Formats: sequence, structure tokens, C-alpha cells
Amino acid sequence: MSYDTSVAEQFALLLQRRTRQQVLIAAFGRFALKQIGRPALMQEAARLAAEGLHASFAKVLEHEAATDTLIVRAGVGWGPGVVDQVRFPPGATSPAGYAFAMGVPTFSNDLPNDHRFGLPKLLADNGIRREVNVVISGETGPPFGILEVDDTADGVFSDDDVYFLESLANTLGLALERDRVNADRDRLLDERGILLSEVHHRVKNSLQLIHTVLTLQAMDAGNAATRALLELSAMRVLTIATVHERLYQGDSFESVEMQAYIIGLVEALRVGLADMVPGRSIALDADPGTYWPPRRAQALGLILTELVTNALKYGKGEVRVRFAGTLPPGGARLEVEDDGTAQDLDAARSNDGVGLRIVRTLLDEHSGTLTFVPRPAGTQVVAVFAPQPTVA
Amino acid sequence: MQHADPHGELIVIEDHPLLRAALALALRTEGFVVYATGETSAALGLLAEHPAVAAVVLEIDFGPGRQSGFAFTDAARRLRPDIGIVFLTGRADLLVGRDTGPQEAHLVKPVTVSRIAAAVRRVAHATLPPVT
Repeated sequence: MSYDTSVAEQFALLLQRRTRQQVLIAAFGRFALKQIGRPALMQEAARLAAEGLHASFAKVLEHEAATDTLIVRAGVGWGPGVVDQVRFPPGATSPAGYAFAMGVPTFSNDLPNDHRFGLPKLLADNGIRREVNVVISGETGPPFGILEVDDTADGVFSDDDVYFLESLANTLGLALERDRVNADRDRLLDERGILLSEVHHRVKNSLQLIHTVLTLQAMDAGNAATRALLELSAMRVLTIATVHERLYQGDSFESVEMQAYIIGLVEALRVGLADMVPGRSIALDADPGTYWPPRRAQALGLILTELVTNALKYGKGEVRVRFAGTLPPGGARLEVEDDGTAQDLDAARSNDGVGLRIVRTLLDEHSGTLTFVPRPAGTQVVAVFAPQPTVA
Repeated sequence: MQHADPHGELIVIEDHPLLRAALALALRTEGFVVYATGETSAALGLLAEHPAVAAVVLEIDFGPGRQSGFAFTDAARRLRPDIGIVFLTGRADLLVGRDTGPQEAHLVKPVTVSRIAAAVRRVAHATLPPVT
């Protein structure tokens, strides 16, 4: 800046520089929204920092917690062997280290004679005489590092230049924080997924163990009645597994679409029970559009499984399952019928006490009722779920 | 141990010790000669040692850092191209997109012992000439 420039001209130049800096900050804000990754983000910040201050050198230093050093991650003006290689310790041995350690911006227009901090080799080798350093931080957590602008030529960095650089660093800090939060969330989601599949794996191992031991005990049983009871228990383990399996597929803890759930469950029952009762079929008619929370869906799944098992065990002919949502929303009616006689139904009610007790207990929890409906031909069992005001 | 059925020998690889014991017992009750182990490396040794073994029943996921059931299967087939494989796993997600073919069966825990036995007979007989 020469001394014969008039004050008006100087003011016009200054204004032009401030306006340009505002434009650059706005541009960087838009750039940071693009989520293009940390290296490109840091590089763009360094480029705009140098441009805004009409300087030839700029760099972004990241604080690496493991080594407690500031490492150059992006820069303009420096030669090879600097990015990802040169490090400064926090402290008074460099302007960047000083700014980071003190947590305040620094600027100097006469570095070789500034005794607050030393002049590192990288700056000395490049003939750096002036610097501005500002801290990059997000809203939470430790600061990320330092945004630094350097120049060789004579001239003056001003307070306004520091404000510009701070605005740029704040935008960069928020963008880096967003990336950090995203990375943390992805890692947590990954860990959660691995943990969940491990839990499911263990549950399945346990169910296989229980089923196998019950089967062995059934083979060993002294009389037919005991054997039948143990086989029933072994089968119950498999059907409970089916209900769980259907629900946790896709790891969803949100509402369950009941038609899809029941179709899948009945299909699994057809396959699973085929060994037990050859020649009996299961027909299904389920209405779409009912969404239930997993706990409620699971209760219905267990009830449906028990009633179908009973119908196969004590009834005759085809087993017909019907599911319909009722009004107000959240209520439902589940019907299971077959061609058995009233005596068959009595046998089911007296022989399978445990199964029906389970059904009644589950229904109680959901304000439901269980009714045995006598019909001219065949038998029908109806489970009614009362509407639930809090259904999602 | 001599056995009338040449397809009656199998290896069970399951890292859950109680489940391994229960499966071995149940499959013996079904008439198979069963060698049970929790390690895929030991299973490869058993396979080399017992040429009459016609099938391996195994888990796929033995935990992080351990050889998977798939990797074991590749090694076992290099040693014995005719070997029958029955995956009996708690990780149904790992089986998605994998073809079974005549030499391989996929079962997701829990399943009945009779289905495991049927799968073993299918994959074992798929690769050996019929018994005369």
C-alpha cells in the first residue's frame, strides 16, 4: 500500500476486500453443505482463506489426540512433503501451536521479530513474515485444529482479516462436526447391528438346544402319554422361535404391518408343522392395513400359533385362519376354525391346558377375550383384541 | 466302528458345547456315526482321518476372527470334492443369495432333528453312487 494513495481510495480498496471476503464465506457455506468429505472441505477452506487475505500460503492443521500434535491436512502454497507430514506441537514453538494452546486467534505482521512464539522451519524456509491463526472448533467437543494464513510480502493483516478467517473456521468447524457426528452415528449403528445379530444367534442356539434335548427326552420316554407331552413341548419351542424370527427380520422395532406378518407366520407354520400333521392344510384370510407395535404383534403371533397347533392336534380337516382389524383402530378379531366336532373342542380344552392358559394370559394383557363358538359343522375359536388408544 | 450304511458317518462342527453334545447324541440316535468338534481346523483333520465321512453339519458364524463355515467348506471341498455340507446356522442373513445345489443344504436354527437327518441323507447321497 503506497503512501500517495488518497484516504478515499484506501477506503474503497478496504471495502472491496471486505465485500469479497463476505462473498467467499457465503460460497464456503454452500460448499460445506455438499458433504464432499473432509479432505476436499479442508482444501477448499485453505484455498478461500488465502484468497480472502490476498496471501500466497494457507493451511489447515488438525489436532491429533493420539499424538497431541497439529498435523497439516490441507494447504496452498507449500511444496511437496507437507500435507499429512509436517506436525507442530501445541505451545509457543509455532504461531499455530500458540493459537491452539491459548485457544485464541493470533496475528503477526513481523514474525521474525515477534517473541511470543518461535518461527518453525517450514515457515522460515518459505520466507514467511506474516501470519494469522484461528482455532477451528465445533459447537461441542474438543477443537479440531487451526486455520492458518501466511505471506511473505510486506503488508498488514488487520483485525478484520482475523474476523474473516474466524468466520471461515467456524463454518469449517461446523461442517467437520457434522461429519464427526455422522461417523459416530454410523459406527454406533454398525455396532448395534453386530450386537443384535449376535444376540439373535445366541437365542437360536439356545432354542435349538432346548428343542433337541426335549426331542431326546421324548425318544427316551417310557410311555406314550409322556412322549406326546414332550414332543408337544419340543414343537412349542419351534413355534415360539417362528414368532420371534418373523418379528425381528429386518431388525425393525417399528410398527408391524399385520397382514404381511401373519402371511409369513402361517407360511412358516405350514413348513414347520408339516412333519407333525401330514395331510392337514391351513387356509388364511388376513386383512391389510393394520399396524401394530412389535409386542402386540408378538402376542397375536403366539396366540395364532397356539390356536392353529390345537386345531391341527385335536380338530379335523382344513384349518381356516381369519384376521380382521376392527374399529376403532387398534382392535382386531382372530378366528381359527376347523371341521372338528364339539367333542374335539372339549378334548382340546381339557388336554392342552397350558397352551390355552398362555393364550388367555396374553389376551388379558391386551384387554382381549377368547370365545369358543359352537357351529353346525366344525368348531370355531375367536380371539378378540380390544382397541388400543396408543397404537402407532 | 463298522456301520452297515456307508453314508452314515458325519462330522458336526458347533462351537456351543452343550448344543454340540445334544446334536451329536440326537444324530447318533438317528443312526449316524458322529464326530463332533467345536473347531473347523480340527474338523479338517477328522475329514482327512475318516474317509467314510460323507457329510459335515456345521454353523457358519463361529465368532469374529474365527474361520467361517463358508471358508471351511471351500477347504473341505478341496480335500474331498464329494463331501456333503449341511449348514445349520443361527445366522439366516448369511445364507441370503447362496445357492444350495445337490451337495449343500441350508437349515436355520431351530429345526427338528429329523430335518437335520433328512438333509444329511440328501447331501450325502447326492454325491455317492447308490448302494447296492
